[in-house]
Amino acid sequence: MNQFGFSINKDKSIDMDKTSQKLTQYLTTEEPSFNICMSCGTCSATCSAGNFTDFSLRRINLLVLRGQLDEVRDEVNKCMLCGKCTLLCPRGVNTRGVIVAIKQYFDKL
Amino acid sequence: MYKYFLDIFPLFTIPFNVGLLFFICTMIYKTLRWTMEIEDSQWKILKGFLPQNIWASVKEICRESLLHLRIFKQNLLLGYMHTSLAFGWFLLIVFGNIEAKIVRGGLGTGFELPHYPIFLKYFATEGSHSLPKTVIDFSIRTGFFDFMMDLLLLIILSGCCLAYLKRFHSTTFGMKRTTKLRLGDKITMGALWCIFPARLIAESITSGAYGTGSFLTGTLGNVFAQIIPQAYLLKSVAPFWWIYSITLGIFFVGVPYSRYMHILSEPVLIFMRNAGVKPSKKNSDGFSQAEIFSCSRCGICVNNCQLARATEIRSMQPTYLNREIRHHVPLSQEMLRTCLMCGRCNVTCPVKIDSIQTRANERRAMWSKHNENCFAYLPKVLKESAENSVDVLYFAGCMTHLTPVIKNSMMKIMRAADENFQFLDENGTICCGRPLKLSGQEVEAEQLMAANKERIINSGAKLLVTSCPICYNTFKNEYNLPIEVVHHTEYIQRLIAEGKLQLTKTDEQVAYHDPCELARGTHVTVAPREVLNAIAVLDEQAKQKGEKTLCCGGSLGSTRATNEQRQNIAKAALRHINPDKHTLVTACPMCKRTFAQVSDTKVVDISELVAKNIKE
Amino acid sequence: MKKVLIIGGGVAGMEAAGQLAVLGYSVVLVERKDVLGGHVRKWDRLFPNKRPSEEVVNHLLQKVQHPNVEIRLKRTVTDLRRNPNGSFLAILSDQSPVSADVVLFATGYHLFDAYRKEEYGYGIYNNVITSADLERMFKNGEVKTAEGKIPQRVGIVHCVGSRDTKCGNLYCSRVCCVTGVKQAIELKELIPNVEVFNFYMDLRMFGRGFEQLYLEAQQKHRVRFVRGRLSEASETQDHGIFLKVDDTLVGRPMKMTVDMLVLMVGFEPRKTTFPLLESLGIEKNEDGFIKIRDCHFDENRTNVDGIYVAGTCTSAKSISETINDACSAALQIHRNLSAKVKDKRK
Repeated sequence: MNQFGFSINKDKSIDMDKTSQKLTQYLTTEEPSFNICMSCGTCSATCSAGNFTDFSLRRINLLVLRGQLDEVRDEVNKCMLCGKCTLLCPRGVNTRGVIVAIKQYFDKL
Repeated sequence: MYKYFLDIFPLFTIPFNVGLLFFICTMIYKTLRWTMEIEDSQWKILKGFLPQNIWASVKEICRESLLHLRIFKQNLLLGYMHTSLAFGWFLLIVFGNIEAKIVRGGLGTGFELPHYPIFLKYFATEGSHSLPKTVIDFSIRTGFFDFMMDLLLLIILSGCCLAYLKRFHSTTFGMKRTTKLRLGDKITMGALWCIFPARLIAESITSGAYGTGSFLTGTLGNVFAQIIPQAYLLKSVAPFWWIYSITLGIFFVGVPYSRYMHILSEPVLIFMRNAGVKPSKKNSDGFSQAEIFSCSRCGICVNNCQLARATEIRSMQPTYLNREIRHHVPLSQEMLRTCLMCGRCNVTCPVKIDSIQTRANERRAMWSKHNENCFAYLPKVLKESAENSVDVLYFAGCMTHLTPVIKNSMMKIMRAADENFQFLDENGTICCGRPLKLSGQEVEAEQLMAANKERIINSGAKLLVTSCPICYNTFKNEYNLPIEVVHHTEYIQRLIAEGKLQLTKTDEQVAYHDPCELARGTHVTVAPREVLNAIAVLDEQAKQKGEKTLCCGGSLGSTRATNEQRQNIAKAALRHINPDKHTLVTACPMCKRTFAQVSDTKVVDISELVAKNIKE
Repeated sequence: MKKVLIIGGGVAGMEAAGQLAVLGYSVVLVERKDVLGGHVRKWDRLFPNKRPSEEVVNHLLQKVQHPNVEIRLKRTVTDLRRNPNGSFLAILSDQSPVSADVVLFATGYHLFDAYRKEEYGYGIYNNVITSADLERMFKNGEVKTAEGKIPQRVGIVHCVGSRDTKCGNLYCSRVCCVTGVKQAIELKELIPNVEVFNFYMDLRMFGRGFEQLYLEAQQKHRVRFVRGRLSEASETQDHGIFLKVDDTLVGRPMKMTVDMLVLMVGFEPRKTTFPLLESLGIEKNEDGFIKIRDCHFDENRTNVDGIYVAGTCTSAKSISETINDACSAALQIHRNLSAKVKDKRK
């Protein structure tokens, strides 16, 4: 059947009533420092991978908190694990630990 | 028939003989199994029988399995404890056999059953055999063997006392903590602890009953004879030999189920190593298995681990890793990912077990899925950056971009030396791949390595200079590059030697910290010191230098150590490295930054100091 | 007459000295430098009303011109101990003794050494300066790059050495936000066509007149605010500073070259006072600032009886807050000393 005229736009808002908090819970036990990020962006601007692509740990951190796991899954693989972000993070987040823990979560899924 | 059997195998020797038989069978079974499971090439093991390799193995087994020289180098008291037990026991067996031979009537009397020399005193004094009287008289008269046996027993007992002390009060040995035990260990250790006291009592009572024995058993025997009536003394001889036999039996049966398995596996491991067998990338490999079983859980690695010393993490050290793998316990994330992979445990391990490799294997096994195309974003960006050929290629590395003073200094040095160079990663570094590799993600790391390799080869340079020891180690040992790779300390040393760089010597006192990747990973320890001697006064206070160097705590090997733990490690390391509070010089951007966070004194890179002292 | 020893002749020390003198105490004011005034002397104009710093210094100088105040310049306290009767005996660096009934620490703060934030390149790149360096330029009336050119684009980085565990300072230095905005405005006033970018994590405009200053910067001077903390800086061929920063609100990394980079350095405890504090058993917070008895009701006393604190030796404060704190310290001292006198009369 041809569809014409109106189509319903997909809701772009984050529905916190429906999103999964599983990864957030997993990270809270596996890498608690994940919770102390203040989104300053130090990690994403210094990032070796971010220099070549739009990879951003700051965004990944938020996406996990907002339960947008589909956007996280492939994104984390772009990380080179070089450790510049860990060295700079003003909050002392173990950023490499966050990445490896997220990857482990998806690996074990 | 039964009586004849009893003559050869008196009942009380049964526990000992059963234990020994079990022990020997296990040894043969395990040796065969490990040999079959070698992934490298099973036939390589035959090389171990070449005369020079056999000689090397025998020498090493004597030095390490008996004399424990490497433990002596670590800690005198601990070395004495191990040597007195192992070498003392060995000599006791040797002397026992010789004495038995003499008692039996000299050489050429044929094969002795193993229990005979062990329980010699029982047989020799009981006189249950038809022994030639003259020979007994001889051995008693001279008293030489009795004296030697008593002396050896005394030495072993002193070792035992140290062992008890170590278990309950490890600080006596300058050790922070001794290892935790499993049930099998506890039983076997209990048996081992009892063997020699049991022997002492059995021999003393026998000596007391028959008026024999030398200074130790004889004296103690006299004391027994004084306080216990003769009849009772004679009756208690047999029970105490039973106890001795049972403790020996329990110990031998317990060995394969305990850490004492290393007595069996260490000689096998030494033999394999001398045969040139290389470890594979799996821990199921026969060689790796031999390594894992050879861990005696002596605790030296725990004692040398900076995580154990500066933080409260005392459950993931190599000794525990080997134990968990051996007993098929699933490894926790802490066990897998906390280790800094600094390699101090490997350097100090008395059995030379490559625990870094073992852990790396387990980290690899952590991942079930691999991403073959996760860095697809790389080459497209980079193809255009291949330029005309230069002589020297400078690769700063990720971390060096966070220590701009290092890259600036290197630029200054290279310009002063009039080198034709290119700054490869001025506008964006591709990680060398080591961090991913250290986390077990080899497939992903290979992609980064391929991208870097292409970039390096495209440049047409003849020499690659890196500022980061992590990159250096990887480029040199993993990349198989067609061009030479040097760290900037070696490069500066070379420039000085070639007369391209003229430096002024100052009287500034400096302390030098060996970065682990540079000193342990690539054995560069001389070049930095030579360079420093050309520009400053080097104060070598630190005992932990060269390949025994301490980790700064920043290591990329760990993906679990917290910021606080890393800072604690750095603080503790600083106290060792720079006690006199000079300017601290290092040769790694990571070490520099990690130490700078917690140091009261200035922390500089060697290139910084060199650039400052170039003659205009 | 009861005697008070005040250590530190900055804003807090001067204000407290003036107040105590009026209340009838004999005050000895010890200052390590050859002039009174402390850090304020380095500043050109002050937020929120751009008042020249000299006005504040002169106002305070007038207050300490009192017969009860004895000023000892170019001296430090090398030793301080308690007498059996509870009073104190201090030995100054010139070996002279000073006895006092109570001691007021107004030892102030230390500016964060920006070299420790190595990735920003202070001390390595000539055109990376600190907020204090910029004030000096304002004082001299001209802002120029190391090459002597007038900057066309300036980056101002907030929170340098503050809110940063990697520098060991978790706390907020409180005044850098508004100083950054103030300096952006001053730059615009001095060089009308200069572009100014402020890189911030949060703009904490808590004080009277601060938000208005922020508004003025946007409305009148079109200062650009980027929410993102600078990650690293490198030098370009022509001595510009190349910045890498995450524009977190847009959600993309930003790269930019500026002619001059200004680092808003924060407060740090003054480590040179630590031996003195330790000899008396005065407690410090984890961050190194002196610990106060209670954060609501007892802000001017330490754990040691007779030792009082005022100003920035306990935490980061603006000048107005410091003056208030010094007044409150003076009042606290007055209350305690007069209570003792009353006790004796009874």
